[in-house]
Amino acid sequence: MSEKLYGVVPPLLTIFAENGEVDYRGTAKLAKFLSNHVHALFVCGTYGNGPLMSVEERIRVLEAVESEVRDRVPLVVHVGTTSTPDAIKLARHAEEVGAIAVAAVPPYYFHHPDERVVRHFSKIVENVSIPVYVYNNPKTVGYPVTPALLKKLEAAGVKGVKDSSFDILMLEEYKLATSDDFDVVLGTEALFLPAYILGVRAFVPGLANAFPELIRELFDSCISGDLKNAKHLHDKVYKLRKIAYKAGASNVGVLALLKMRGFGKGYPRQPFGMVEDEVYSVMKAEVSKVFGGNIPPIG
Amino acid sequence: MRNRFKGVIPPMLTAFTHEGELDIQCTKNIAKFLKDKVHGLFICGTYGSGPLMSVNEKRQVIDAVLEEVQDAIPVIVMVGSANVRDAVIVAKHAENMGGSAIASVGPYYYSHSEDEIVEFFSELVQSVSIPVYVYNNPKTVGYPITPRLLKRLYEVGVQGIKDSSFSSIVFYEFVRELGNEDFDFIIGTEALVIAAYAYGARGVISGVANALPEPIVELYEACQQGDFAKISKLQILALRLRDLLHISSAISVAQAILHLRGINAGYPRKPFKPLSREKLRVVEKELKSLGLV
Repeated sequence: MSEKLYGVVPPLLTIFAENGEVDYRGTAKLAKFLSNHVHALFVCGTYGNGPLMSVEERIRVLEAVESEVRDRVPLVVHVGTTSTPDAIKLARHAEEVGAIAVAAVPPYYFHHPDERVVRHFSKIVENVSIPVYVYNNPKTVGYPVTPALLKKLEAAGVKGVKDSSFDILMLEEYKLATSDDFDVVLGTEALFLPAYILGVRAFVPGLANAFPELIRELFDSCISGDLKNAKHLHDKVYKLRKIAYKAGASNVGVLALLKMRGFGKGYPRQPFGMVEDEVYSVMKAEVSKVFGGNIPPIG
Repeated sequence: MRNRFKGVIPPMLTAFTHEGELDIQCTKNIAKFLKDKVHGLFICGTYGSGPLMSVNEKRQVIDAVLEEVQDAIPVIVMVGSANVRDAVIVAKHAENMGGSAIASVGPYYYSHSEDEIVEFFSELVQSVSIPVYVYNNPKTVGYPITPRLLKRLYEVGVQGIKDSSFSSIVFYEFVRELGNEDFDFIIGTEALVIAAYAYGARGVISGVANALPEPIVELYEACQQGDFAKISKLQILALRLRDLLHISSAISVAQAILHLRGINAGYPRKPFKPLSREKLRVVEKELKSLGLV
């Protein structure tokens, strides 16, 4: 594998049945669809509802996805949880099934001082030989990965950061705080273009669950230096993102967008609920407008 | 105001082995130490490392604690989780084993709409026949229970609140919203016993009482007697002990004090770690100067 992550790496949604059970086949089906368009998949993250699943469910989701997309796209596995032993268990399993890297939010629910966060990551690093990334998501975790903490994490063997702070300056601060070998990855589609221009080459965009072709085209336009087209696509992506957020929660919204493209049955797990019919109709009309009247079906 | 649970109710620690496995024997040691000193136990909460445990582990803790205390004191079980299903499984088990009530934080990690939070509690309420309480802990959960949301929770059958906002004003706002209803208000810290008692609340969930139940029970009794000089002296002591508990992670300090008192209370689970020797000496010195060990 290359040393750093590269390209479009969607945070794969986990699909649930109406009764809340994990739909392993549905999740694998989505992974297969995405694998036709993207560079890698990020499994069991925030979009993937990792924090809503038991350790056993997360292990099975990874196995179902891996057996479906083996030899098609590499996998990055999110192993973040509240406790160090569970994170280690998940990380070891990810390495066993061939993941190219693991990522983890700092332990959530409880708030921990830097020293304890560093120890948590040291333990994960000690237990696997694949790269370990820290995933900054202050909104869900309750506290941020500061640049000073990131520097300590690099010293402890962490190889990169996935940043979902939605703050373009944070990417710059991270780069300044770490070595050139350290990988800085963007955890949203919302800042794709500015992040690309500032040197980011790997993206974890939630919207790519529903529109992987579009995000891939955006990435390819950036790579080929066609910034005019990239800007045009970025505007389109941003509009779709706004529509997805009408559902109240991004994972629920993106699932609704997938449904509009004819993906078939799929539910979020509670406490998330399905988007209401009325909101769904409004969303659908707006998506249709973005595509000039025809929502492209899943090919 | 109902005041179904009166008195001092420690949010009991859960003990782990050095390797991080659940340590049932040491967990029982803690329950045994507390059961004839306090008025109830709150298990698998934040101090109890509930959010660090699997559903199965929580079931084992429930079994062990209920076996240890028998019917001597009521046991409230915290079932809060990121997802509803796990919370319901633990709640049902708690009821089957003889738990007196269920408490739950709002689902954490993700932020949720009020409707989703109400639905979460509604499912919990429907899954058991013992009372369900909401546990307000905005710092760990990421969002607060507002008085307006509390009213909606009351309407779907939630019967009380444990408030760890650490604000007497927030606590008062809850009382103002539902104080005239058949509803319980439990203060989730020893720091605000005077204020909560003054508003009519009679339940105190105190982290300090995990390891030092005596001064907190004394404070509660002084409130009952209305002895203001004594109340004020003991409330200040409670605050001082609370400061001491927070010189490191409160879980590790409470565990260390139990060890100082001769109770084998095991280890915290990672990412928490046992109290350092230097800090242990600080704790020991302070407790000796207060005549508490």
